[in-house]
Amino acid sequence: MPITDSESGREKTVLGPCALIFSSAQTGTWRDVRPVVDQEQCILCGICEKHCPVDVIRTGDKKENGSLEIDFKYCKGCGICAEVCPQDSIEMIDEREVSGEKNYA
Amino acid sequence: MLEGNGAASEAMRLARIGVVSAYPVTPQSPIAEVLSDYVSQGRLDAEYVRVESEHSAMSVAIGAQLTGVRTGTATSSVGLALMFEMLGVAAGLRLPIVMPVVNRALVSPWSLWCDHQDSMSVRDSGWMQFYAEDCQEVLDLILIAYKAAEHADVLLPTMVCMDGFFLSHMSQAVMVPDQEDVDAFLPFYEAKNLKLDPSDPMFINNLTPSTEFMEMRYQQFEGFNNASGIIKETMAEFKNRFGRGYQPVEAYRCEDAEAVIISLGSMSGTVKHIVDQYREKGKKVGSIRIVCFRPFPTEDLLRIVPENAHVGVLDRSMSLGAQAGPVCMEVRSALSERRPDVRVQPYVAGLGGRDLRPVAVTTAIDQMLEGTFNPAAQWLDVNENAMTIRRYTEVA
Amino acid sequence: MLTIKDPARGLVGHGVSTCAGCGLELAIRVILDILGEKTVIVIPPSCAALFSGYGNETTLGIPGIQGNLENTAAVAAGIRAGFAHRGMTDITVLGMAGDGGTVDIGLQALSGAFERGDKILYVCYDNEAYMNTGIQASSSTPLMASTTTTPAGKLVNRKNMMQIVGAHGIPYAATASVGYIEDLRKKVAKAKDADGPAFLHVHAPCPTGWGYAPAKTIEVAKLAVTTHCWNLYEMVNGKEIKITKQIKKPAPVKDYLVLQKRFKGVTDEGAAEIQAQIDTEYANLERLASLAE
Repeated sequence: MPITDSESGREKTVLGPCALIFSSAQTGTWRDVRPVVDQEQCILCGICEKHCPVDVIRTGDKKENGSLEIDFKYCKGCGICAEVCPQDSIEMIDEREVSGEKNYA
Repeated sequence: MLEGNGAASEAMRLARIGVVSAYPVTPQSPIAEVLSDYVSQGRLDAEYVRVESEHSAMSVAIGAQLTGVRTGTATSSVGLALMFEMLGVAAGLRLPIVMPVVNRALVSPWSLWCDHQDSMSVRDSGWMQFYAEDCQEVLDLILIAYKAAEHADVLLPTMVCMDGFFLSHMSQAVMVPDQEDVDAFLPFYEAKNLKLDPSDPMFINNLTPSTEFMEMRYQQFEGFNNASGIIKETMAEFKNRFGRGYQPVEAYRCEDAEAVIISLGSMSGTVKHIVDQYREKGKKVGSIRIVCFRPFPTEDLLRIVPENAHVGVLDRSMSLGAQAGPVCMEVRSALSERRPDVRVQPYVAGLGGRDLRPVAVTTAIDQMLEGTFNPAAQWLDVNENAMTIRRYTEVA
Repeated sequence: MLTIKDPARGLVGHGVSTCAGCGLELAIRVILDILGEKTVIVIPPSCAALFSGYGNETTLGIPGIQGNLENTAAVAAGIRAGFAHRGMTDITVLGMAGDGGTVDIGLQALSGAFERGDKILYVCYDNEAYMNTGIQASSSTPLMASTTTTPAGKLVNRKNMMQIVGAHGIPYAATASVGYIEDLRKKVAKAKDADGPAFLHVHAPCPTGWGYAPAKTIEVAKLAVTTHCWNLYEMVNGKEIKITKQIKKPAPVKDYLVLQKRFKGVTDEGAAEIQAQIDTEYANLERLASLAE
């Protein structure tokens, strides 16, 4: 069940410590290496997606000519995806080599 | 006829607690036994969680209360000490858990018997504290405690303290109200504040930054400020419905008194009896009993203490390293500045099950009437050989 | 009602300040994916508390409470009792604590809940030391592992937590590993449906504390299993033991040790000692499993 939008509710004050906002840190800013996928070589097996601790990999559908997508807003660059890839189709490259700007998103 | 423990169990049954978690500790154990009996007989519709420690007893109560259920637990002495960590959690999460505390000395030395060191040691944990004088009051104050604690402007956990054995194991005639009347006084419990509910998720008690910590503490401070008035209102409502009236602090023959003894709990009965004897002799002596120690009834006390009185505070515990016991320090703090006419003499009495013998009280009153004053605590009825009660020959 | 600032694919936000390559982070996502939104979580102060969040923000989309280090099982038992009183029996009450909060300071509360038969699901994610406080040894730290409180290597063997859990005879207990995700998923599903308390002991390698590159988390987790340093099995009613991952030809323990800086000081003799220990433990496990057949 994905966490998406809030529905409307009644405004209320609560006392004491609690968190009422579902949010994420911009962990993509931690990255010093980033996974780069060789989409030609990738067989969309889904093994990297299954092992990504941050859950930022999306495996496209083979039948629909899909590709492997990574959300760099949160990817910490741990490199597990490259390590578990049976096809060796993910390479970790230095973040500074990525074209021009620091592209977190 | 009910013992103090029995009165507590009756009150919790009448409050329709839905989860009970308690661990045996003398002299509180009968509360846990009777409640488990009620549950097994079906007289109380509750889950009984037979926990393996007091720490877990409070942890279970906290978890259960957050699901929107009124809970009950009880403890004494070392059990309360083991709970210490979780007392602060219950308070910080604003859970109106009500807990009878059967007062017993804290180790060491080991003692099974009454003093107030246990509950006084946790007086800053964010719990309200009531001290009962007799078994009827145990029952009544527990019902009052649930009602006041659950008020949306209060939301504070509450200890209802009774003196171990002196009250917990003493049978007295106790009026047990009808369930119907209690239901009308104390409505069905709902979680009004923090709650665990899959249809409305929130994450409770995560790490709080320093930019918000003081505000959360301040909320508790405000809860106590609100509680002072709400406790009085609740006591008045209780009197209307059940006919028995209470005050956060009670004065007895204080008008024109030159010497006044302040005490809590079952000690007050002895004090009042002795006050009567002095009054018969024409001596101007009175008694003040503090029922509600947290929040401390400062304004009421200021009003009640007679002019130019010598006030002696009987502490049934000691704040070692301080000049006085905790109740006396509280009284001094309340009266300082605003009542320069009053002198407050600290006394320590009745520790570790020592009876409050009349001689202890008369010694104090006589000193005050004579005008003797010592800013440091005077220990009443302590044997002269205190420093040499163990002697032996060491192996050379 | 939770305000959704950063949408997520599952019940856990994507940006959590756990270390890169964190085994726990993978485990909690898999576990909550199986358990679903009708779950209430209890988390002690620990690495898992990074999921509780900070201030008004959390990364969990289910109700939860951060308890204290030693009482995860007791708080969970209270929540269970509260829901039971209200007739809400379809909610999973999950305790998610580390090895320190389980095998050391949390053992008493856990034992109490299991003995009473409280229907809670307790997950111990085992990263084999107090990682959140700075890598101090716990009683789940393995023999000869270096930590900040065992700088020369731990002198004694780890506690066998599954045997302790087994002694309570609870309906379902299992070990699992982030190196074997499908196996973990199956065991979470079984634990969820257990008729009483369930316990999952999940091996969760920690790159920071163990001293290996974050990319190697899965490799290290798998090697722990293929060297018999972490065995995957189930235990039903405390006695019916079934090894769920049989390793035909186990690799030498040394293969596992050399990947991790925490075992850097282990000599050849030390490695042989660990190997002997691991072999004995595995023989024991096989013997117990054979009794169940």
